[in-house]
Amino acid sequence: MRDTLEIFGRLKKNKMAMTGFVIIALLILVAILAPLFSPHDPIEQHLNLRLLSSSWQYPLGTDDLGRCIMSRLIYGTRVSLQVGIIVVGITAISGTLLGLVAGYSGGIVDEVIMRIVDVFLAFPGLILALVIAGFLGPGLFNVMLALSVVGWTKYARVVRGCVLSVKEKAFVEAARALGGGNFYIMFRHVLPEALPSVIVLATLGMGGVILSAAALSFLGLGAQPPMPEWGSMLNSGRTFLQVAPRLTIFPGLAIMITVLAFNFSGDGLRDAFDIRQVKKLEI
Amino acid sequence: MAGKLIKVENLKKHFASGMFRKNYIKAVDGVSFEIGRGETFALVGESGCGKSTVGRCVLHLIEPSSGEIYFDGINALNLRGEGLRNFRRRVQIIFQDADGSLNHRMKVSDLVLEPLKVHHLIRGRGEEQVGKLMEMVNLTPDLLNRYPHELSGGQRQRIGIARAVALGPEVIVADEPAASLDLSVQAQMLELMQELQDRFGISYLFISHYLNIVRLMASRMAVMYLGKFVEVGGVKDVFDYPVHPYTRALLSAVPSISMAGRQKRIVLAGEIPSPLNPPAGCRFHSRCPEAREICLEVEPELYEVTGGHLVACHFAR
Amino acid sequence: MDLLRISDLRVDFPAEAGLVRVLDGVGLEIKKGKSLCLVGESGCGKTIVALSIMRLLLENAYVSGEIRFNGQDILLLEEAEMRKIRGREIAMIFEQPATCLNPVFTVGDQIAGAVRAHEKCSRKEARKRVIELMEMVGIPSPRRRCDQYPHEFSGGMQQRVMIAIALAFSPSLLIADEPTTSLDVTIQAQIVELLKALIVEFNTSLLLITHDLAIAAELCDSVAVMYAGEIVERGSVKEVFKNPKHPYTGALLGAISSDGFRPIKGSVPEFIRLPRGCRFHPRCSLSQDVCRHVSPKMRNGVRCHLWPEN
Repeated sequence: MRDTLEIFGRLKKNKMAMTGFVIIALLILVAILAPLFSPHDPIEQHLNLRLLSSSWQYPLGTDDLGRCIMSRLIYGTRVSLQVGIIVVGITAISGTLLGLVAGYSGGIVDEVIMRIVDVFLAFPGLILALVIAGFLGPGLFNVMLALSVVGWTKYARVVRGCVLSVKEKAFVEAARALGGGNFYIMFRHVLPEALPSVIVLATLGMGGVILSAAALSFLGLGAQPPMPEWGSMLNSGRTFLQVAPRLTIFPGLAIMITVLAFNFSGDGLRDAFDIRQVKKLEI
Repeated sequence: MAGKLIKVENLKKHFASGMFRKNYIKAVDGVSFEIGRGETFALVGESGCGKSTVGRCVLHLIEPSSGEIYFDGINALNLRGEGLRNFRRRVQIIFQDADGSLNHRMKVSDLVLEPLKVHHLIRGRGEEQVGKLMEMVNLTPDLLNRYPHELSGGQRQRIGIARAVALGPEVIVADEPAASLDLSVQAQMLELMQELQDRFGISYLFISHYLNIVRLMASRMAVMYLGKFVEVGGVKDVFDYPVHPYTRALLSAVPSISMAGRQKRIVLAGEIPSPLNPPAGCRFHSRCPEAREICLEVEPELYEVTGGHLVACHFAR
Repeated sequence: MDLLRISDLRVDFPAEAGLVRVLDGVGLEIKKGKSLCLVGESGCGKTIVALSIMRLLLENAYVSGEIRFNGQDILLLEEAEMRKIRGREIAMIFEQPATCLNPVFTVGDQIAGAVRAHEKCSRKEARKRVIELMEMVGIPSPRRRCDQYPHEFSGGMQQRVMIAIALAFSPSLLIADEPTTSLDVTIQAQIVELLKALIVEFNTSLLLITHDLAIAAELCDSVAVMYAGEIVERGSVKEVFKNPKHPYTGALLGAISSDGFRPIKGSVPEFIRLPRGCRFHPRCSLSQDVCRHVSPKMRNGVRCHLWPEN
C-alpha cells in the first residue's frame, strides 16, 4: 500500500507524465462521447462543400468529399484507441503468459519459446507487420492481427527476465516449502513482481501501436474508406497537400499528440516504478 | 512408536560446475542420520560445509544426487503430486532470512493464512485460525493489517514461525533460525521454538553454527566438515568429550565471556578448502594440528567410540 | 593522558518528523595502547560513534559535543586537516571487507597505495613493505598472493588485507567495526588472536565495535554498553561482565547462557519513539515508578536509578 502511494507521489511530481495522463483522459472522453462532440456525421458527404476552410459550421474545414474534418478526427480517436487497446491487450497478455511460463519452467520450454521470440525479433517489426497485413489483405481487423503477431515478443522477454530474478528469491522457495503448486506460485508470487514492467511496456506500446496502425492505414492496408481513421485521412489528404494542407496537418497533429501523450505517461510510469531493464529494451 | 521419524541414509548432493569440463562440487557427500519424534537434532559446521543443503534435501526442495530419505517409513524422495503435498503439511521449514522469505506485497494476515490456503484448510474467512496462530507466536492482532517491512526483525521471524506451524507439522527444519537477529531477540525466538516443541511434540532439524545455542536446543548433533560428518553423538557427549580435532577446535574457538577456567584455544591454521577439490584422505588433514601420514592417504570412516557417539578420525580408536 | 576523549557527543539526523537524536550525551575515553569495546544491539548507535570520530557522517547530520584526539577537538578541524588524521592517525576496518577492497586492483597494489601515501618510497621498497605487512597479518605466501585480486581471497583473508592496509600507517587508534561478524567461528578466532597480537606489537589503541559480548571480553580492557543512543554502563571488562550494574547489561549477558534462554522482552525502541524516562524501562524487569518519568544520569559508570550509590 505504501509502495503504491509512493509511486503515485513520484508520478504526481512528473509534469510531463501528468500532462500525458490528462491528454489520454481527454482522448478517452472524446472517443466515448464522439457523437456529442462532433458537429457533423463523419461519413456524410457534401460534394458541394468540398475543401472548405475553417468556419463556424466546419471548425477545421472539410475534406475533398465535403466531410467535416473535425468530426472525422473525433471519430478517428475511437478507431485509434480501439486498435491500441485491443492490440496491446492481446500482446501484453499473451506475451506476459509466455514469458512467465518460459522463465518459470526453464529448460526446453524456455528454450523453445525464447528461440521463437528471437526469430520474430530478427525482422524489423513494422516490415513484418506489413508483410502479414499484405498477405491477409487490407482491413482494420487484419492490421490488428498483424500487429498482435509482431508485438508480443517484448513482453515475453521482459517478463521472462523478471521471472528469472524473482524465481531465486527466498519467498518463492518458502511458498514451495508450504506446498504451493506451480500455478499458485506463478500467479500469486511471481507475476505481481513482473506487473509494473508490463504496465510500463503496455503504456509505451499504446503509442507505438497507434502509430504503426496509422502507418499501415496510410499505406492503404488498414482502415478502408469511408471509415474515419487518422492514417487513412493522411493518405487521402496527401493529394491536396499544396491546396489544402489542413487535410494532412490535423490528422498528423492528432497522431503526434496521442503518441507523445502515451510515451510521456509511459516514461513517467517507468521512472515512478524505477524499472531500469525496460529502458534498455525500449527503442 | 519405535521407528525414527526421519531417517537419512548415505545422502549425497553433487552440484555440477564449470562450463567445459564438468567438475562436481560435493556439497554433501554421504551423510546418514535419524531424528526421533519430538527430538532436536542439530547440524553444526562452518559456512559451505553443506549443512543447509542437507536441510533442503530433507525438505524435498532440492533433489539429492543419491541416498535415501525416509519420513515416517515412507520413502520421501519418490513422492509426487498429492503425496508430496501431504508431505509438505508434515515437514516444514523456518528460514534464516525471515525478511526475504515473506512476500512484501502480502499483509500479515495473508502471510499467516497462506499455508492453510494452499492446502484448502481455511474455515470460513479464517479469522479464528489467524487469531490462534498469532497468539501461538505471541503477536498481537493489531499487526494483522501491516506489511512485513513495517515489522521488527523479531516480529517477522515470529510470522515465519507461525507459517511453519500453521499446518501442524511433525518435523521442522530450522535453518539458522535466529542468526540475523539481536541477541535479546534471538533468545525470544529459541524459547518460542522450545515452547512449541513441548506443546506439539515437533521434531527439529536444527541447523546452526552457534555452538552455544546448539547446546541448549538439541539433544543430538552432528558436526559437518566439507560435506561429511566428522562427529555425531549426544550433545552432552560431544560438548564434554569432543574427540575429533575439528570438533575440539570448533568448541575452543567459541569466544566466551567467563575468563576463568578457559583452556588454551586451539586456533586452526588456514582456511576451509574448496568443496570443489577437497583434500585427499581425511578432508580435515590440511588444517589438523594432529595430522599424520595415514591422514593424507586414507579417508577415515565413522567409528563408534561409545554408545551412539561416532567419530571419523584415525586416532579415535 | 587519554588518546581519545569523547564528551557529551550528540548526533541528530533530519527526518520527516523533525530532528532525530541518535546519539545522546555519549562520553568515553581510551588511553594510549588500551582497548575499549562499544557493545550494543543493532540500531543502538554504536557505528554512528565510529563514524563521528572519523568525521564520515553524512553531511546533513548535526554533531555537537567534543571528540578530543591527542588533546585536539577533531570536530573543529578543517576537512583538509582531518584528512591527515583519517587513515594515518585513526584507521578503521569494517564488517564487510569485500566491499572495501577495489575489485580491479591487486591486493598488493592496494596495500602499496596505503604504504606510499604514508612515506615516500620507491615501488620496490613499497613492495618489500607490502610483503612484510602481509606476513605480519598472517597471509601465507605473500610474494605470490600480493599479485592476486580481492575475489581470490576468502572473507577471512580479505579482512587480513584490510588490517594490513589499516596498519600500514602505524595508526595510534584502530577502529574495528564488527570485524569478525561475517566470518566463521574458526576464522573469527584467528582474526581475534591476530588483532590481540597486533595491537600489542604496534602499541595501537583499539576501539572495537561489536554486538558480541564474548569477543569484547576476549579482546578489550574496558567496555561501554550502549542502548538506544546512550551509554548505559562503562567499566573494565572484568568488572562489567562479572558484576553488571545496569539491568540491560545483566539481561544481555544472561539472554543465552549455559543454563538456558532468558530473553529480554520486547525489542529495541526506534529513535522516533523513544520511551520517556529511562530508555530501557519498558523492557526492564526491575523498573519502578521513577524509571518511567525521570531519565537517569550517568553516575559511577552506570546510568540507572536503581544502582544503590545513585
